[in-house]
Amino acid sequence: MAGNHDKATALGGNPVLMEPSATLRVLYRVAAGLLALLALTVGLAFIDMGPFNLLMALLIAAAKAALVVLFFMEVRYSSRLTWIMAGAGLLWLLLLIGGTLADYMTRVTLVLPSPLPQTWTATTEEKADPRDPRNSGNLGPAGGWSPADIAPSGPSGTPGEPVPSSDQ
Amino acid sequence: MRMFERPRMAELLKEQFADMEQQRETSSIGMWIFLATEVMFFGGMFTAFACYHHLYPEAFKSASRHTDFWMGSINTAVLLISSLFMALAVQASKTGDRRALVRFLVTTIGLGLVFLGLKGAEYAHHIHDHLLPGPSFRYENGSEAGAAQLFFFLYFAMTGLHAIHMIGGIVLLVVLTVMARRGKFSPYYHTPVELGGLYWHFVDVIWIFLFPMFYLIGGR
Repeated sequence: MAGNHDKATALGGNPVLMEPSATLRVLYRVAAGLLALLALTVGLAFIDMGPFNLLMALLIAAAKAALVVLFFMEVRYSSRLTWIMAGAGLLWLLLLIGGTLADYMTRVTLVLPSPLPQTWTATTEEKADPRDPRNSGNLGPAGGWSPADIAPSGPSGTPGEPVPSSDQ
Repeated sequence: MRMFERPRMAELLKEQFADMEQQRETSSIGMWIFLATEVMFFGGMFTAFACYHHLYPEAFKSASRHTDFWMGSINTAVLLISSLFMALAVQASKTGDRRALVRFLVTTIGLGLVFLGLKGAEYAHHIHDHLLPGPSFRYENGSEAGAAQLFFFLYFAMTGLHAIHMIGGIVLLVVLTVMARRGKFSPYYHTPVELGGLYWHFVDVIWIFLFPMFYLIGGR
């Protein structure tokens, strides 16, 4: 933007023209678009579309966020360096959420070989387990292990019973 | 455009910068780096919400029907409109329109206070309904009570953190309004208004995502 670093030049010039920015018309249109998207997402909440409700709500939120960041925060008119800063925040957020969900969404029942005779569950698949926080009303890690998991529990949990499908 | 006194630029330009544009962009980049750390700050809680929503999808849906749908929708509109006025304030600061700048800043502050007031009314309502996590928590569906309590823990933590950011933003805007009234800003120097705007819009963006998470996932 300022190729000539001569002090006198740097201090002069038309300051308004030096910064490209959104015109008032653009700002009003973006605000109208934001309110229209809000009306749309509120309306869609009354229609049952199954899993698409969540998907649509998140997509509309992402569109609103993009409008705010690009036009109100003027990233659209900013330097490449600003794009990198804004993009870095988004990228690391997606890594944080994506990486964690990739773990949670792929957890399966874990069968341990002997000497431990029991089946340890590290998932939420046991429906009637009273230790499951969904059934007891207690807060707790859904896939967490506790000493109670090792101790015998229920009719099938007799000590010494061989593990059903073990490689050994 | 209103007339403004042309400031003595040598006083505005700090000696480590080559020109005003470089000085302005350095401040702006600094603000963006701060906002990126804020994204990480909120990001941990967004991740927690995503994980627990994955584990208890049905309980989260039914719990989200207990939040005040219309209050949340109106508050979203209030915040979006406040962002428009903030953007208009930044434009006014660029053209040196001091009176418009003060007017837009005050409007933005007012809308921020409306948002906080409605949010406070919502909180009071939830606490009255025993939806505040803790010993007083009551939930009609016993088998979902644990997950519902998790939902409301995240609700209070995330909207509360957002509200704290709103209060910080309002304090910032009050300072900017006082500075604007004293004629500190001109087309040559208005970086603080721009940075305040970036912060205000960022807080708006956070709410744009909180709204569907806590108010919309269950449908109505």
